[in-house]
Amino acid sequence: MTVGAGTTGGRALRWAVVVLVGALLVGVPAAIAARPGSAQADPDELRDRIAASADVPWTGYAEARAGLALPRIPALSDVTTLFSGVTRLRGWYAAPDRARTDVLTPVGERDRYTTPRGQAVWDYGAELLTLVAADPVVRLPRPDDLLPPALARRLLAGTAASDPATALPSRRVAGVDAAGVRVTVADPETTVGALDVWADPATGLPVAVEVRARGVADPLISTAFGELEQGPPDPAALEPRRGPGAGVTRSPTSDLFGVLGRGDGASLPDRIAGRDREPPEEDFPALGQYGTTLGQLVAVPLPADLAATLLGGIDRAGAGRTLPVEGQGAALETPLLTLAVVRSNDGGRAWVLAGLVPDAAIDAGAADLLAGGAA
Amino acid sequence: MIGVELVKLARRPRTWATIGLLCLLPTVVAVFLATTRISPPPGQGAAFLSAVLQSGSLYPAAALALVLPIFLPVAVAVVAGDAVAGESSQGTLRYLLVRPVRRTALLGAKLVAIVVFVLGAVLSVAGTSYVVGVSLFGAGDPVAVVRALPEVTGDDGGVAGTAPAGGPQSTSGPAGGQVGGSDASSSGGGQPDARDSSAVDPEAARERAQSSVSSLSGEALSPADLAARLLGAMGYVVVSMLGVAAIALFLSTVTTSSLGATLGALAALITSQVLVSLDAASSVTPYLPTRYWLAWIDFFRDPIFLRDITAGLWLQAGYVVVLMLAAWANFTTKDVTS
Amino acid sequence: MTRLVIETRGLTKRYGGRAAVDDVDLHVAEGARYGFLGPNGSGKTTMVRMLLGLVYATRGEISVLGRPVPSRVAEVLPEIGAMVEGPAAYPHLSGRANLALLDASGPRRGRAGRRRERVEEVLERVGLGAVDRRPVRTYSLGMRQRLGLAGALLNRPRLLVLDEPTNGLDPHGIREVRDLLVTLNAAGTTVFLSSHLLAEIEALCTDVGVVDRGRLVLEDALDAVRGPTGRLVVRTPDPEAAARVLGRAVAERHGDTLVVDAAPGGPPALARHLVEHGVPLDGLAEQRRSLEDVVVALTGPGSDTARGARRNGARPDPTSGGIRR
Repeated sequence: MTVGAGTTGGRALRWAVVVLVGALLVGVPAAIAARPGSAQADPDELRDRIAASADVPWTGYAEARAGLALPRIPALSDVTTLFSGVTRLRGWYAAPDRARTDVLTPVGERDRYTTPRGQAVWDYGAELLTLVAADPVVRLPRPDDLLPPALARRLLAGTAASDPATALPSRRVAGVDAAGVRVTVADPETTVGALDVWADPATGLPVAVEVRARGVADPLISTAFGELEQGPPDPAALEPRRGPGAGVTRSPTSDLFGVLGRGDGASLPDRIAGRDREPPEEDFPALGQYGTTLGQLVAVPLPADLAATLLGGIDRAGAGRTLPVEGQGAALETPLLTLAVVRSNDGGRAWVLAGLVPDAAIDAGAADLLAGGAA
Repeated sequence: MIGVELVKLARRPRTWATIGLLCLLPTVVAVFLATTRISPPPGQGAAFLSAVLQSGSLYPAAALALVLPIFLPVAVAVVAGDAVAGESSQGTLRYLLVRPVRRTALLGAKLVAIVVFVLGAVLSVAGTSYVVGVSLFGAGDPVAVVRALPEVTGDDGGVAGTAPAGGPQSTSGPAGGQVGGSDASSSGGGQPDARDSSAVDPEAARERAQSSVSSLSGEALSPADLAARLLGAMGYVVVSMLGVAAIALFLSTVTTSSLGATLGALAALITSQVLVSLDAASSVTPYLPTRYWLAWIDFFRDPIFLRDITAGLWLQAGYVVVLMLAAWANFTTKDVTS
Repeated sequence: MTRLVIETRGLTKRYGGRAAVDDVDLHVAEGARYGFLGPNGSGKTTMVRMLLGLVYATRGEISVLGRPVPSRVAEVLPEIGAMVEGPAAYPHLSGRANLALLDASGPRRGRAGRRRERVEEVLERVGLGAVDRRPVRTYSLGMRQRLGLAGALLNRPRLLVLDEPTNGLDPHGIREVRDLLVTLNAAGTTVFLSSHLLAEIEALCTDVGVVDRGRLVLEDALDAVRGPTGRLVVRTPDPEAAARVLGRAVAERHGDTLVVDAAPGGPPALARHLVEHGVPLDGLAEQRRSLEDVVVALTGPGSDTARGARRNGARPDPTSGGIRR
């Protein structure tokens, strides 16, 4: 027992030690994390380098946080949960056709392997490896789209060259002193207001992305690496694995749009809401892609039963907006993404319509679909 | 003093009752699973519960997942909350201190005894659940199984074979199944594809496959690999409990009521659990004691995912350091009046 | 002057605003059997705890076995055997197991080999030699008390600090404990014993300290406390005659007993005087104070009575009874 024990001085001194150690343990890591970066880069140059970063290999871990607060709709639950909460992702990226993304859940994981021969999806919970032949370019969002490099490149590709790029303060992300660039989207036909991207100024690899909607202060989607190592990943990690005893199944596509897009595209008009239809992809004739910018609309004919399921799901969730169209239409709206289901009054024709677009575009698109298909 | 504390721990009937109860829960669950063969839907329920039907050697991991959220922390909080407060209310504390036992040494010995208790509890749970799991669900030779199955990425049966014209051969489930939502993707293709196993006797392959183990990423695990990962996970779970132990031990020096210290620690844990799942509290979540509790499962990913595990170890170390210092500051300057 | 084993100076302990121990100067000489006497709630236990480093003083100094407490209490405690506020033990273990654990908790290493002997020896000393493997929770209060005493004797202490050691013992047990303490004391152990029982202290102690509401109001050798009052007590079958003969010298009269102011010549002179005047005598002795008289004179009502919290002016003049050092 040291001298001073029991006196008020000794007690105060000991508690001071406790408080000091506690403050250090909380403060030092926080201070290190909050250290400002010093990276500098010309915003336009950085934007070009980001767009050209598809060949930068890396291995890492990212967390994506989306605040779109979509209700859970059966048959679309993967998309709705993706945009309402935190997605934890591990990635191995060697090249656009050599990559792997694991979506981590507290009780398992879903891994998507991209190989030159196609894709493979391992679902631990289902004990199933699905071999995927091809997914369309236009498809529903999926977790690996939220990796900072993928999100940054995909969204920047939809901006116009005339959209102004301004510099943002640099940030330290996963050990990278990253320079930031903000691309403000001028196009009024999209809900996306601005894209904030931080990237390694040396390689152009995006390490953090924040997507802002027009008129919303906080970013609606933010994703950043928590751990990142640039350089080719371990090739062994890129080989699809099938657990012993697990099943294997083959599927031409792993995407709902891909499945639907293989059908008959006759009901898709050539132009909706002022956007012209792009030439359809091979193998996916029923996939209607209208426009190529961020304001693009995607329309896909739905089978009657699935349309009923989705409409019922949106209705039950109680968050849908009924569209002012001839026929039935309901839209799940967020400040960023809108997803609508439209059905003709006789129930014979139905579409799903989605885009990062304002209400007016969805309404007009729905009306055009109903009118165009009938013509 | 550490030896004395360990003897006290070992000679206390409550210690063994607690460990027995901890082992009982996974055993009960295993018996129900084995008799009904109804596993929780994939992605729901405790981790690994749906996988154990395939191999009992994975059951220790499922048992850890079962006891980790409530049973184990409660047991730790009871033992740690009683550590000093129990001696105090029993009156034995004053006799220990006039032996004399230095107060700091007593705290240290108590902490060591609690760690030994957690270690014993986790080992017992893992041990009994391994025995229960293997005897109820069986355990195969995972390596043999892997060799018996053709490589899914092999030249003949791999992804390439399915390329553009894959439609007619596809065995895909119902539309919207594995593409739209995980809820529909489980039943359709759960059996091994017969064509993949055509090189060997499909029945034998399936049978052996039924009793084998894979990591969460689908990597086949050899028994040694599985054992190493289980040990890692057990070690991590033990460390995860140190934060609770430190909270309860600190409170135990504050109050003379064991129950008060235990409930205080549990209240702290529940608060932490609530805040961890609250997005609005994301600024403090990295500092919450339960934040990285579930990271032990990362030992079963491929490659092993160390980020959260490392963070969890540092976090628990921080809690132990700060709270043990607080316990020391309080206990060494406190009047022992009980 | 003999060495002091316990010495305090200005020792004060406050809980909130209330002083449990107030400015106490205690002196316990080596080899003494010191009785620390006071009503319940008078601060005895707080005092004992401070001597043992369990409770930290608000003010004042403590020296035990020549070393300051609490700063060097770890050096003195191995030479002290203590029982504080009743015995305590792990209820699910036997008495032997409890003592073995207590023994193992001590700081001295390399004694493990003789642990069993030591435990048996102290059990024998307190009369529990024949105790079986029953857990302590089945013990009677008296057995627990003996077990606590055994624990205090484990390290052959130079100083025994005992708080109410005979609590719960039957008269036979009290006698045994008293004999044990006298034996130990004769072998050189200083005994510091706190009690609220006058008789216990009177029967056992050589020195006494009286505490009242946190203050030490008397500290002296028991013989000095019980010194002659200077009066004589006369017992006679004929008190009327005696009163007549002695006249104004009679200070008090209770039935056939008279208390008489001492006259020159002492008892022999008085006896002669009475006999000469034809007063028959049953007895004649010097009047001595009883400890009880002294204590009652010095202290107010027990501080566990409702009035006890407030000083009621009963504090005696130190010169009237006790002798303060």
